[in-house]
Amino acid sequence: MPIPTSPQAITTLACAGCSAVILVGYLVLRPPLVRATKLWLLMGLGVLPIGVALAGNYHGFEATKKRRFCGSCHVMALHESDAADPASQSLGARHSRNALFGAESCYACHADYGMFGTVVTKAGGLRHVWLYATEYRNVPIDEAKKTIRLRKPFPNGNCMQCHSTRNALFVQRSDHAASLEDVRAGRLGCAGAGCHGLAHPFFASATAAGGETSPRRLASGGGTK
Amino acid sequence: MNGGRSGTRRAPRLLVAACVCALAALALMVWQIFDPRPLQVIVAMSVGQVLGTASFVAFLSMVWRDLRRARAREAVRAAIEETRVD
Repeated sequence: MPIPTSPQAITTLACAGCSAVILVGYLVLRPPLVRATKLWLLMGLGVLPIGVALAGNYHGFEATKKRRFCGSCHVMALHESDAADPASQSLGARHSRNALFGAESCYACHADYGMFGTVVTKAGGLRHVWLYATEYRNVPIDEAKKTIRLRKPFPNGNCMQCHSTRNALFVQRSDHAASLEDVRAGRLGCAGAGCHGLAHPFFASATAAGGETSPRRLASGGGTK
Repeated sequence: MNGGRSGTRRAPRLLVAACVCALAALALMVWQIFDPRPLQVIVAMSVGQVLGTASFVAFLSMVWRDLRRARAREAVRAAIEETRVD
């Protein structure tokens, strides 16, 4: 079990510890309910637990961005190990080696951008948890590999946050120049067979998944099954 | 006076329940710090916070009830004093 060292985690633990001392103290000593006791209880039941909730929520939201968090569901273990593999040449692994993405590489590519991107991504994550709990919890990885698929095409906008498509070197490549408008409009996916390959080597192919017919539109993603 | 006595007996029981609820909430919220996995994070942000809020509301309601009772007692005392003066 890793020892949390972030300021939010330390704040959470400090507030929780102080609150617990006050509450246990009250339960053990049962002092008369005079004004001082009420003030202590206000700290133990109100102020400090609110601090725990605020710092804890912040820490929780940060934790949900980590690759380790995504890989904690067994069906994502292959993706996680591939992303951490220094020898892997998959699109996902190559991006994970980028120091800018680091341990948050899943979130960096899969989170929707825009004003409500975080909220939309978290809502989508809850959907994943629900599907995992109701359908995939006991599914072996080999079986899950065949059935897990993208719900919607991976938005090129996520790639274009870094790869703007406006660089001269980008347009110099004939493939890019020929498909520039389609890529920018999202009609042609960056990740997929024929372009940059599947982002994760373990994804079911489009045909096997029974999804859309174009592998390019299924390659990586804005959300799994 | 009976009502008052039973009230003071009831209040600590509510407080004890609030303290136990708050301790459970704290445990759930701290659990996710050490083991940040989907279930733990969701439980901390839902069950943990509902329990914590419920315990705080119980405490506030007890304080509110105490204040009202103290005010009523003051009013009765003032009325008695007034009668004596008359």
